[in-house]
Amino acid sequence: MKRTQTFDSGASASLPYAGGLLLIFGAHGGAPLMLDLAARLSVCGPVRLLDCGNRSNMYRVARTLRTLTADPVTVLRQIQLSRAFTCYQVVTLLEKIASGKGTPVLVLDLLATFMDESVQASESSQLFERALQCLLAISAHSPVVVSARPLLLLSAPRFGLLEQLKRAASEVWEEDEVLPSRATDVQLSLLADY
Amino acid sequence: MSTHLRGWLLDLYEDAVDGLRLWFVAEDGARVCLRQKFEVVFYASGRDEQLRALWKALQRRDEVVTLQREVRRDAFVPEPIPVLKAVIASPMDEVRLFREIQQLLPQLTYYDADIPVTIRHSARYGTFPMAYCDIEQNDAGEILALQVLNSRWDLSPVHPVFRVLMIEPDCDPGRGEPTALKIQTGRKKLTVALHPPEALLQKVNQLLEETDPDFVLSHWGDTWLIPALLKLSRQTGILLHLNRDSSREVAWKKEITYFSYGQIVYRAEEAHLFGRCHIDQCSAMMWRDYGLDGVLESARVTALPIENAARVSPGSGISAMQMLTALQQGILVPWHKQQVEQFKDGVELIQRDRGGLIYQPLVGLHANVAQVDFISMYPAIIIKGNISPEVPLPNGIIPASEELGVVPLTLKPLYEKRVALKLRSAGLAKESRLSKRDSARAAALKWLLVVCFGFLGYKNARFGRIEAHEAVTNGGREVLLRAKEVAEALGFEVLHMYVDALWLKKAGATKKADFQAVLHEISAQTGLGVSLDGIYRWVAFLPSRMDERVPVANRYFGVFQDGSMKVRGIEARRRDTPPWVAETQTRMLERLSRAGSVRDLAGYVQEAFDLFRAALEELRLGHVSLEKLVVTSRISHELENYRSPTPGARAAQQLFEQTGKRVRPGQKVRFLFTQGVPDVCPWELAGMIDPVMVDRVKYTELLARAAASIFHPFGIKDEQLKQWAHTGSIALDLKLDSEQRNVRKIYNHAPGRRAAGAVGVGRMGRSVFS
Repeated sequence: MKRTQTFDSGASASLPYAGGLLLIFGAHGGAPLMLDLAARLSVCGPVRLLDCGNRSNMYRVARTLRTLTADPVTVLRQIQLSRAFTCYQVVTLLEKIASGKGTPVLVLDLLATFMDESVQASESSQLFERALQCLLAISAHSPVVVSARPLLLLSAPRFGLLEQLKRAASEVWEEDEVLPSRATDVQLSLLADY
Repeated sequence: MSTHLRGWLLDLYEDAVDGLRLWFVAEDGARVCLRQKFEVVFYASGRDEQLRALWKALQRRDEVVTLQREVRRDAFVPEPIPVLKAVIASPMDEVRLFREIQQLLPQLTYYDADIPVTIRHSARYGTFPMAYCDIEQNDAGEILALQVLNSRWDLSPVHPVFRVLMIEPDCDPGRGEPTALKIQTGRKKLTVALHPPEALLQKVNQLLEETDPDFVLSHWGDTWLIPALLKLSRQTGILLHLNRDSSREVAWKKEITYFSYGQIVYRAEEAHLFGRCHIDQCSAMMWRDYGLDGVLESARVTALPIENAARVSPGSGISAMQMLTALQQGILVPWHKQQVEQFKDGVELIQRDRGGLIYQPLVGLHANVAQVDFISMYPAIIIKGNISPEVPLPNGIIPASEELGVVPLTLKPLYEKRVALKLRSAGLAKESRLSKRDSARAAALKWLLVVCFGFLGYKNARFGRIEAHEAVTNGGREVLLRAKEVAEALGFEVLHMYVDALWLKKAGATKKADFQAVLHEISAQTGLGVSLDGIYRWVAFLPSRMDERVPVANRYFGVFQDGSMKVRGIEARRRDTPPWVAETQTRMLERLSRAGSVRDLAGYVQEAFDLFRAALEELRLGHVSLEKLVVTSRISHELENYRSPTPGARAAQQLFEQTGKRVRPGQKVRFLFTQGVPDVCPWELAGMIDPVMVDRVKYTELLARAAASIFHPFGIKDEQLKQWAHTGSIALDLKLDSEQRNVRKIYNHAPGRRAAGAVGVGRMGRSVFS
């Protein structure tokens, strides 16, 4: 059964799992949490990051890694990423992806390119359907986490895509601004954790 | 029987029956419409069974002339690929047929499917707007043969004598209700009342018939004038003959809102004519920069129709040129680019995804500084490094392949033409007609070159590739670092570097000749052209407002040795600065520019301060017209989507509530700051407010902020100046780069006090503004 829960930006993420699709929904395409997740997963092994919203700030990931490992450069190389700037590229990328079994796949700001006003809504919808099928297929053997952000009114004719994504997800984490940040409860150590 | 005609191509468009219609301005001055059958081609690639399905679907269609299997070159695939080639009878048939086909078989990859007909025609015949052609035609007005006798790259193109009709309402329809149209044809000017509409329409028709204009140049033609005339035409039943092609109605292109360079942009709907060109000067993107001469040049090199070239962004122009290059080279033009970025790791992304190199300035006032610019640096790097999506990327700027790719092949003649125009105009008197024309044309080419780098990384660019985009900035960084090393090796101090420019100084170097060696050496070491933008008598680099220990790139003002000023990043350059603030700041700068050297500045600082004080006095007395206080800002979201509405959004909301006029995302709103609630008033409603309601405190703050940018290099702090502006009292140091300190007494601007000039100059290191 699908679980919907809220998160705040300071939440520590639990590892995603294969056989389900985790959706992270929040401002900035859930990028802070997704990049934090990418950093933590990369410590354990390779990670695939598909950036559909040009949000892959590797400096941020590197900063996180410095708190997690003595060798952030080597670990940063575990993250294999590709950026897609059009919905056609998103579909091509997802159809091409041959993720090794068990390699987590993170898709950042999935819906951004499908909101492109230069692509007709009907075509965008067809392409999104194909993208979603690919994601579900990959999620059968690898952990898949997808993020999305609230849509602008400008994109009203395409609001259905977000609903479709939420329906397809086995678990949805929604950002809740009301919750106080847990980060404030934690006193960070000045010493590296190694 | 066939006859020959010579003339300039003015317009070209699809026709359901004729295939194409082409309008020429003949050598004898006649305007001639000819017809031409024009078959067009598209290609498809994909899995065999799907290509077979496509073959079967197309085989049954009458519009299809031939079908055949071929091997063609896809720019993004190393080896030629097998494709199905479909030749369609006419451009209109192709558009209709392709729409059906791509819905039927969406899995196929299509090429050459949505290329504008003018580009297809240009690729086949070498045509472009204002191409001088030799045409063989039959008695029925069909073109049998067409030969272009001139080139897109001509430095001195010859044009026919154009007929122009200028038309505009008697006021801005956004601000008031027009009552008449102002029309000009040649030397004849007249004003025609909007009422009665029958008389108006008859007069407009009469003028159109008498003049038979090639160009209708309007103001608000797209958004108000033509819609209003057509509405009156419908109401009265009097047909309006706007088109030269009488069988056509006005063609409308829908309004759009889109993102560009992180900004939301609104483009109003457009009215296009057939057989003549309508250019709305308010909608024409670069009209203010280069006018009709620039528009014609842009149309010439891009091969886009003149009406389009006037309205579309330079990016669309570059896209058209790249498609043309690809067609000429036999390279397939993808319908939708599907090429994706190769996977790279996190470290590679950090290393490659950087922008231009910035070397933060040494904050403060500097004398005898040379600004050295690379000439069109990024286009030059693309050409020199052969950076194109389909060829291997260079090592720095050393090309990996000799055969030029689509992008450098497109840019090379453009770059060379601009440089040739610049060189030619440098030898002409600035005010001469030819010089102005050349400048306008060079400006049009400049914009095309400016966007070509960004376009490599643009999502919808057919020949874009993010790695190629990154390779250009990589080349730029490499080149700038080499230039810095050269300059330092020759004993120069590098004060600032910004993407494609360096600011250098060296003790004793004050004349152009003193910098020639460094220019020559930079050019030799980088292989790129550099120019001396000028030598500043003095230049001031400004720090951050938030923390004055932090320098800010590209925020400076200075005066060249010829007395001209250069200003970047301060209020006078910002579009959201009220004219009163911008003009006062500019006047203050002009006053400072009179200083022949840094040492002479002290006296002029006093005079600049007097101007500041006088402007505040004007505001206090209510002598500043409301127009000069208008703030212009762009709306970036739908009004309902603002969580904390900006002043602009609040003004737009008021406008909507009180008049029903909605400002769309990407559109600009003009407003005034007012006292109380609401604290803004849209400019359209400004007639309803009492001028004393203007928020003078806010405007004082804005001017003090602008003045602070000017006075900062002299040691006057933002807060001190604001304090003085509001309270009339301040004590401060004047810091110049010499031991001499100046004490100036500047009188309060507060009510009841008499303004006075400067008094007292000493060496006390303390200035009292009281």
